[in-house]
Amino acid sequence: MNEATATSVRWADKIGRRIVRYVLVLIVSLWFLHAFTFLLFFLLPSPEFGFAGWAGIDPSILEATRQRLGLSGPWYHRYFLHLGHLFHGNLGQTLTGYPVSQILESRLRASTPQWIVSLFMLIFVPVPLGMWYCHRKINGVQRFLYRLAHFGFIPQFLAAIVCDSLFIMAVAPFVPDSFTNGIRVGLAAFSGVLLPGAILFIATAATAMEIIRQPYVRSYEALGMSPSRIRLRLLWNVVRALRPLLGQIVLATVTGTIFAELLFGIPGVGHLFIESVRQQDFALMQSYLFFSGALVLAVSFAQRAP
Amino acid sequence: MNHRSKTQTVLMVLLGGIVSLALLPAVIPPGDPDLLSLSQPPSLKHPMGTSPAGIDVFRLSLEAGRRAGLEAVLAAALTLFLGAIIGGTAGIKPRSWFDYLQSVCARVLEATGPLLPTICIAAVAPRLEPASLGVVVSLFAWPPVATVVRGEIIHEGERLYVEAARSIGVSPFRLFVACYFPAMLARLRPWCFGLFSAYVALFGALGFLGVGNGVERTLGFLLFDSLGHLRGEPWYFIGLLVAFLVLLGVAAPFVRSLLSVPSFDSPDFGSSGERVKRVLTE
Repeated sequence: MNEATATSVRWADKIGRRIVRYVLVLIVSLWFLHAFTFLLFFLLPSPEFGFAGWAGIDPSILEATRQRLGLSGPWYHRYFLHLGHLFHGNLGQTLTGYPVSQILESRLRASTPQWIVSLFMLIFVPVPLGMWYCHRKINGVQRFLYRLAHFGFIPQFLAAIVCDSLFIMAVAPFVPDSFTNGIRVGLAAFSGVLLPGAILFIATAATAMEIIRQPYVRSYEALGMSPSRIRLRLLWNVVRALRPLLGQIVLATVTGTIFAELLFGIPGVGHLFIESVRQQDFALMQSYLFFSGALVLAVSFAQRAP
Repeated sequence: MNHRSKTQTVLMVLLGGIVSLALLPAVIPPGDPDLLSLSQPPSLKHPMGTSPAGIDVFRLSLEAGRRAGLEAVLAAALTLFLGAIIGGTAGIKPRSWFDYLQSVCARVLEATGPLLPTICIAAVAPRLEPASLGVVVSLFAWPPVATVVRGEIIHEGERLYVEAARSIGVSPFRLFVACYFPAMLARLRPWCFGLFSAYVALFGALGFLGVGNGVERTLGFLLFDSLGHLRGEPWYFIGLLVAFLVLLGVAAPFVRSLLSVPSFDSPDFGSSGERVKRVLTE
């Protein structure tokens, strides 16, 4: 075995160990997350009350409802049953008797266009705009934009209200019906990603301003590189510095989606969560909480992976 | 008096007036519906107009703002307390079982965030009082505070004078009071106003979604209600929006000014040498 092959094997071994470690830690964290969501809903009043009413309940109806919703038996029995069902993709039944996984799947389809637009906005707007600050001197426009971005920190429900009002007052009456749906999805996505976008933009700009002052950038300049080429070279360094923010950005996007879908009337997963909250549908609420948490956990761990 | 302190004084006087008006129900009592003046535009009698239910929007905003402010102060105080206790304990004994446990709990709680679990609890237990809801929120929101406190205490514990004090047998409690606590306070100062604004937003969101006890008089719910009257009575929406933004943005520097404590590195706390001397001699 020559030296190059030995190095490759060592490298592959190192990467393999890190991936295994990443997967193991993620599994343990997901298990904790599942335990947390189970405990949270176990401690709350039982959902069969929501179905059958709080007062004057017939014990036989209560027992039948418990059995139908899979809530009979001691807590440990229910916990392991729930965990086992989760491994098989069975997330339980809603209060109206439909499988949760089926409903989540159909609502995910409705959310997809908004999610795609949100992802596009998050990747292609704040980061390139923040890289514009990769310059030794910041002009007035850049300073104004940097301060303006702080308005993105307004509460997400307020952002959704403002965008919805804008849509109702200024867009819907003047735009042809064929374009209305697209603009609605675009505005909903914008209101959902305003906060994470502002965080991403400010973090990118601040990191870019810091990196441009590093001594090695001077050597790039001394070599005669153009500013745009320097920015392109520094992009990876900036993106690496932003990795710890990924989990929080995903969480902010998930919560922003709830308000956006509610106000813009998009029947997606965020809207489903609010419906389940209003109906006190524990199975749906628990599944939403678990999957949004799992998404954030996976992204948070992915930033630590090789 | 320099420019900054002048501005600060003017701001303080202005904000003091607004907050006093908002916090004292006796000065401006909560508004009762006036059925003879439904949906009235702004006038001298009603500076922000009246709502479709005949309530003065100015008084309604003050009442809702007062409630949101009190809830936010309570929840922020509880979060800081809980985060400081958990982070402080983990920082004093890093890599202990408690440290690992709090780090796993923090990771899970940071993944769900405080909003989603609080929505679930507030929806299922609709009779929770604002104080109880503040406790619930703080139970889900302590991890960032604990992380900051833990890091600060570990950093502080590595200083030479702390090691010297520890080596001569100064008790952990005295070390906490003399060294860790002032450092922790300096780091948590920005969190006080940050958490206040965050909780105003969180309780606003809960009201907006219509979950929680007595939700009908919260700023979030009123904003949701005013959206339906946006075309006919825009003052209703604008008045509530202004009240919410004032509470979010302007109350933050006010709280920050109230809670301004000298930094650990400022002359009020003395130099490192004096701190060593104080720890060793007391």
